[in-house]
Amino acid sequence: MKVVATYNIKGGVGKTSTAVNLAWFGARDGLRTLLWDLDPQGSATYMFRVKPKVKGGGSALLTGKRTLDDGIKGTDFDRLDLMPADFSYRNLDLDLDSTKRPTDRIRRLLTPLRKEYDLVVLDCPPSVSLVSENVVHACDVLLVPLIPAMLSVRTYDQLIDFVDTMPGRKPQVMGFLSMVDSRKKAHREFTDRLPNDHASVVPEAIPSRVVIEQMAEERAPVPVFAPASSATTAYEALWTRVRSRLTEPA
Amino acid sequence: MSGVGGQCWVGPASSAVPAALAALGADYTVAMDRPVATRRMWLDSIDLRLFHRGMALTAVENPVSGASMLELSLPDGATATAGPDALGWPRLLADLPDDLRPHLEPVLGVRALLPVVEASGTSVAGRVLDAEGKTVLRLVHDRPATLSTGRDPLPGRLWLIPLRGYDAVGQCAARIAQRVGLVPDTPSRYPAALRAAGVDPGGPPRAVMETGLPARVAVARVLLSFLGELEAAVYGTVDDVDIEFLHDLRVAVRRSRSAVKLLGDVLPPALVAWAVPELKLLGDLTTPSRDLDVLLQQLPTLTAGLAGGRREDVEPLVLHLAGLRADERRRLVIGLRSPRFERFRARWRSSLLALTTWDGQPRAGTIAAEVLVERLDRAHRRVLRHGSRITDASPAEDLHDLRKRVKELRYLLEVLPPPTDPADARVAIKELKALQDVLGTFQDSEAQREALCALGTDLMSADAVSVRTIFAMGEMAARLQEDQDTSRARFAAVFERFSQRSVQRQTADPGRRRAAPVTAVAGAAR
Ligand SMILES: Nc1ncnc2c1ncn2[C@@H]1O[C@H](COP(=O)(O)OP(=O)(O)OP(=O)(O)O)[C@@H](O)[C@H]1O
Ligand SMILES: [Mg+2]
Repeated sequence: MKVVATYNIKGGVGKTSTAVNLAWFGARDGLRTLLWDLDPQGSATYMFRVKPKVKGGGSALLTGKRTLDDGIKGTDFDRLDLMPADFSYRNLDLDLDSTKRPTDRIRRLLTPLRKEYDLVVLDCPPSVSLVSENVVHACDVLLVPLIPAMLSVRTYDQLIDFVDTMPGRKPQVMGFLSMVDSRKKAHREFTDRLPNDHASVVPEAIPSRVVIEQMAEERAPVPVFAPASSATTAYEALWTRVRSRLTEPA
Repeated sequence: MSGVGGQCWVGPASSAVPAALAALGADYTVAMDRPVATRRMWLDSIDLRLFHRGMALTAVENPVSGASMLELSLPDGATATAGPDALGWPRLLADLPDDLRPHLEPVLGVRALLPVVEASGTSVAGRVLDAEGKTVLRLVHDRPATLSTGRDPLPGRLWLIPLRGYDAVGQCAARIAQRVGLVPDTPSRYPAALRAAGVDPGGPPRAVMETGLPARVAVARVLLSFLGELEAAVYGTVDDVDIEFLHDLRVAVRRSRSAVKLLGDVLPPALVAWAVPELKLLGDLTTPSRDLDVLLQQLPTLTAGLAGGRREDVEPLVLHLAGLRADERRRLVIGLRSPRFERFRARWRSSLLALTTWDGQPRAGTIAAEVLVERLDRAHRRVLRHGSRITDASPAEDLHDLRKRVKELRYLLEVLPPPTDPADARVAIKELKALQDVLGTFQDSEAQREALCALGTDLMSADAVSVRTIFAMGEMAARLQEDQDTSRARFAAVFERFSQRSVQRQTADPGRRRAAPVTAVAGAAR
């Protein structure tokens, strides 16, 4: 079982869009895939038409009253399951804080599912918190959408520093450019330069496209309703890159 | 989570599945896709080995590409898949996809896979949706399918595939299915397909003498079913589907020859005088091909033990053997397609048929039971007599001869009806089989060693071979010699056990001194 998380402190940068589409491609490629929506807003859950409700909420999970297994829902797609969001996840930080080894909970919750899934995708809420620390501990690849702007590069560097200084098991950090508008000169320059300056930023960028916004109306991953779009192609290229990272020997 | 799994339902009437769909539609939003044409072929060996092991292999054709996906269901319910696959059938183990071979090898052995039943129909996938338009249950409706060989269609059925986290809907749908009269079905449709196609998985019953009939009628009937076995093996032999067809054909010929030899005196003498040389000719026609099949089959075992593991040394031999086999097969096929063989089949069948009718009136002539018991007894004593004369100094010929006598006894035993007292009789057949094994190894290893010598001479005179190959063949010959010596050394003990068992039976039942050994071995024929 490999774990990928889409993460950024900043909101609205394309974390959920990326998580949903990558999970869909993973399942298409034959991987038994679980997408876990950790964001109390439940955007990914909404995208799959699932009710944003987990029996007992986040605390039941953390206290061991319920397991992930109890909450998982099959989606409309073969091999793709969803662990829905719950509004109570907004208290997840407090709940985590009251457990033993609070930064390790998510990883431990996933352990029983090791045999059942080949790929787990975690969609994180935007914040710096115990949840995000948990996610960093739990994943093999930390996938970071970067808006082409100076500020996002700074926070990215901070994140890399944080992972570096982290004790124990570390994920690979993988940045990629998100919402790239190629009509903007600054965006084009960023897209060309960043992968060169930063070894951990991959060249596969996700362009800014209306079909990606339409996911919320269609309530489906982009390749399902716009298979021929350039957005589909871009997500597939990004998935191919992530997949090869995951299968590389460590 | 995926398309596999779920429960399959079938109905007593063809209207049951549509009724279930209608009932589901009343309670839920059901979205059905467009029907797609499906063509499914079940593959098995001619003797249905997969079926008898609780397995099923299907090839599902993609209507666009024409290639097939192969799906093997295993006895434990697991499945293995392979494909797309575009090679044709029949096919031997070596030509099967890597993912399936390990599962099939222990079951199939040398037997080929060929299409047994083919079904074409349509199937429709559908979904039960909740208020958000989300799928909460999947369905697949396999409509009744037409079978290539059958009289009846393969009944339709409904798959209900629950989604993880939506168990309540799945349970509700199952209740609806039950309410309209559907019952759970096994995932594999193979048994149902065989049934609908009119294939009897038990195969034809073993030919058994009807001991109450006049001997002539009973013998003719047994010979007739041997002829049936022989004819059933012809097409597979001619097409070289797998080497077992030729083997089956030869067994049918040998059984016929033994029956004519040992029981033929109850048949019209003119018929026997004609049939004996015809059957011998047929036997002889098949011998060279069968010998080559066996040698080729044995080759991996023989070469496995070569010093230094130099299997490549025997490559020229393998090539040569393959060439010889092709030549011999050509001869065999010509023989099996010849007018002479046709005439033989036709005349043998009509002559036997003419003898099989009996008006039920007691007639002059003995009843089959009497003849059979007497012949069995005689064959048994002949084995004992020949065997007891064999010493360490006896020539190999004497052992080969004994093997023939033992085979005759075996064939007679095989046409006996099931025994009344199987418990103590089974022991004797065990001893008889052991005796057959020893004699078989003794003769076969000699024959193969001689074949290797002849092949070596061929290869050398054609200058087509390196000395390495000849050395390797020498090693193989030495192995065969060892096998022969070992079986020779074992013979005395094995025969001793067989004859002792026979004596025991005699003394245990002194009142029926002569018949006793017969019943002893006879019961075991089952
Ligand atoms: N490449 C893109 N092109 C156009 N619109 C995009 C693109 N990626 C995301 N969006 C839109 O931007 C908004 C935010 O995207 P998304 O929800 O994927 O980001 P997020 O990082 O998960 O946000 P949050 O931090 O709120 O969870 C959404 O309306 C989405 O449709
Ligand atoms: Mg989000």
